[in-house]
Amino acid sequence: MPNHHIKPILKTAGIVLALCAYVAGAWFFSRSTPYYNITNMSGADRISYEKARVLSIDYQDVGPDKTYRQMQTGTQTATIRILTGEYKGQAEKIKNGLNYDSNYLLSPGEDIIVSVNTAASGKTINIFLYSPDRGPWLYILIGLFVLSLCAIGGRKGFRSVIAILFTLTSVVFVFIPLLYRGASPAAAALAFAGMTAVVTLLLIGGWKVKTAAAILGTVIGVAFSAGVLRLFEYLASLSGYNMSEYDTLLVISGHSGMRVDQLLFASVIISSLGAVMDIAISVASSVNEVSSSDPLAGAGRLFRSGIRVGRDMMGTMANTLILAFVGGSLNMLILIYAYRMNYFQIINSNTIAIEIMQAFSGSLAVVFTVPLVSLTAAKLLTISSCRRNGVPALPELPSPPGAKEPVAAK
Amino acid sequence: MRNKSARRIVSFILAAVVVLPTLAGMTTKADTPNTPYDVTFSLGSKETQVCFNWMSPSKGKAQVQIAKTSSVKSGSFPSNSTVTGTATATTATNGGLGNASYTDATTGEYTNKATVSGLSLSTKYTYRVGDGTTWSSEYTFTTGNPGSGFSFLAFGDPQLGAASSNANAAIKHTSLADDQAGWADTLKKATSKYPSINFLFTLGDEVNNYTDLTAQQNEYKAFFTPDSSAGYLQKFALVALEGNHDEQLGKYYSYHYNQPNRSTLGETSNNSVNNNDGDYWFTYGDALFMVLNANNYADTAAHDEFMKQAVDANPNARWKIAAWHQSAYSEASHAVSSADDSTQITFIRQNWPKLMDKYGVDVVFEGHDHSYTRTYQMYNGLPVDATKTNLVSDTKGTVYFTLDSGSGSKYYDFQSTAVHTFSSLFWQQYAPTYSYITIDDNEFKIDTIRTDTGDSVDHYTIDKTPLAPASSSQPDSNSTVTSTPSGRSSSSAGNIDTGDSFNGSIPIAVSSTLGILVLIAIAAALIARRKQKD
Repeated sequence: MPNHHIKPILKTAGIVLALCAYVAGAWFFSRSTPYYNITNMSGADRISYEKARVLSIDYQDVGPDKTYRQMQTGTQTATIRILTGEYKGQAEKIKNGLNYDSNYLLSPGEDIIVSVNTAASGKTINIFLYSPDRGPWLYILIGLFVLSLCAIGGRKGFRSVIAILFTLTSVVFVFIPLLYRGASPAAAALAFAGMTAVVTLLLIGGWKVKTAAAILGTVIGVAFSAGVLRLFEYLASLSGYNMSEYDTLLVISGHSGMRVDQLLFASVIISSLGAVMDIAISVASSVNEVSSSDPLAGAGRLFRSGIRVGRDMMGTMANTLILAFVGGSLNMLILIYAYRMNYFQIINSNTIAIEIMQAFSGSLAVVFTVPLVSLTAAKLLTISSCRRNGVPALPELPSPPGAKEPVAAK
Repeated sequence: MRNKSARRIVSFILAAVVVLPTLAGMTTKADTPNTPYDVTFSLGSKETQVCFNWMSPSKGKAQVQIAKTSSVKSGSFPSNSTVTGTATATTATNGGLGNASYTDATTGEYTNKATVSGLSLSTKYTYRVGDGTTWSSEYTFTTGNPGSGFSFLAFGDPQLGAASSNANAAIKHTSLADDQAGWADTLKKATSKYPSINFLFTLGDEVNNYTDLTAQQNEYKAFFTPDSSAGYLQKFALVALEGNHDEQLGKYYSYHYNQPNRSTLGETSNNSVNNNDGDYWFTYGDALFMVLNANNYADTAAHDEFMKQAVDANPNARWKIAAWHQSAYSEASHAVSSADDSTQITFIRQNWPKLMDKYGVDVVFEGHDHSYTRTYQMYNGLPVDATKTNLVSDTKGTVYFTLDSGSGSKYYDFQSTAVHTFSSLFWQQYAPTYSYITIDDNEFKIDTIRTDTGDSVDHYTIDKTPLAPASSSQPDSNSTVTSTPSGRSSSSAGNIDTGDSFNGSIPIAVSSTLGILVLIAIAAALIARRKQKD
């Protein structure tokens, strides 16, 4: 059929068009000039970060530290060749101190990043080791992830990569600029959560009823957790003003109109979104499986099966959020333990209170997403399966012989 | 007698001074008297020089009348006692911060600067400043004779106007008046305990508000004149430096001080307007003081060049002392990685000590963290000896002091999550403190005292063997590289494709093994999928 050929072309064109619109919009939207020059230098003085290669180690006196034996401290003198920027190609000598603030043992052939700072006279140049050149390794790790995702996940894996790309780019090019320009962080976070849920779940779940159920469940789940969060933010007197960088953000807000007070809300919504989407699509999929193996299963049965699957998952998923919090604040937890800090002091500190708020309101959203998605999936699937089968949407009807497979199954 | 005729002349002048403005008033505005305020003087490049600075509401002659107190009789100065300086209209970056949308505008004030040289040592002087018509009150100060040693008082951020009522502080500050009273109290107690000090030293953030000009003007007045009857800052020379709060209104900071040997090196810039706040140095006795502007933190090359100039100009300095605002080594709020200025602080901690190592600086004074930290002697970013002690002799490295609030206007809490490896002593009891420092040929001594009780918080002494050459850390030329193009500059040197970076043999082995493993896994997965389909 000719239709068969035109459809994919239209679809592709549509996708390409949407993509172009997205890229153009993001580019236009995210343009901004730096708020101000944070280095504050005057005249023709300048600093840049450049790549360099260690040619040789000319002097080395490095050994176990006197106090912390497991750490290597001391000095190295290295000859390096600068590979980029103003002094590209030049060989220079640098002194590398291995101490508590900077601790990298250099070896010949290694690539490093140096800060190159020139005074206006050109007579004095300070070249200091900034870090090893980590970029390539990070790209390799990302590459491995993408490759593996595609290889093991197949077409779905590739779609997941696109979904991740979309999420990342919309954070950087749309969400952050929105916040910076003074959009309400709460509204922006909810809109962003909705958009991400729609795109990600459509890409991964496909254009299907279960996807619609998952999206609906995610959006309602996030909205629900937003309500809870709002309430407890108010009760516990927490807001963006209690976050660690608020002082600087406040100064910037004076210029850009950013709403610092609502930033905490936005950050909590974003950090729980992943887990909520995760449980939403899982529950929707399993309800869909039940529905496809038993097309005439009633909404009640589908709902119960969704809840059963969800029960298994909500525990581990809530754990995911809480473990993410533990992982993120591991050092702080060790310190609290080491110093035997006072309970009132710990539980009421801004950081801990925010972390707990974040972990548990997110987990609450996960828990409530299970019945929400089960319900929407059960309703939507029974309706659509009945419509496909030409049967009125009534629960618990005996299945007619020779009923067609429902939508989701190929 | 000469004295009598001099007096007659002076009284004539005075009479003229009283009459003239009334006449002048017909043609020029004279409704508000041009009364000087924010009167201060700084040490000059030598002990026989002082540099005056004051603000005035209108432009006048910028005159200082100064004479030995013994020759000033009942308010009249000898005839040859007038020094004329310059008056300049002041500007401020309106709204603060180097934001492109903010521009510099005049503030309707004038800064008056006059330098007086040729003073005698160990002599009491009387002075007043004004425009030749309207004068300030008369103040006296005594010059030092630092050949036999000298002393000064140092204070961390007075930050008048912060009025940040810390829950742990016994005395809560809720207004500028509270800060002003705290500042006056510290100055009163410190200068009455140590009346023979040679100067006062504040370590930045003299004022607090950085967006509102009027608020900052009031804070400057409170800083310079916390108690108008006592005139502490008019009685002692003041060495001040620029903190992050003072910097934000651009050039406005520089109009309040008259600093000797000020360089353009190290100065900051707002919207391409240079702020006249560069590094400066002075010597007192055989100590060289280098005052650096850490608001320009990334420009170590400029500070490096400045320090070279200062050290070259004073090759025989027995003690080298540096000071700047943002503390490299402290343990309170600014030292944690989540602090709003953590990039800056980390950069300073990683890189500025390299300059101290290079020039063999003995002592560094810093502020910013409103708490007290004394490091071990530090060299190459490490403690020379991590043994707690209050006395070192002929030691290597630099000791860094972060001084606590001088006024009690604001305190920062100890941060358990900050770096502590460098710290020999931390102190935070939410009370203002001051440090009393004495320096002679062979000994540097600091005693830090809490203002409320007068108890000692910390004391530390550095001894040097008499007549030995100054603590000589050889300048290590390695951290500063003069630009010398290397002979070989092959074309491949500039390539920055990632393939270029796998030169080390170990990384190659690791990456290829990893890569192969992953490829095998991918292949296995593909085969498994194919089989499943079949």
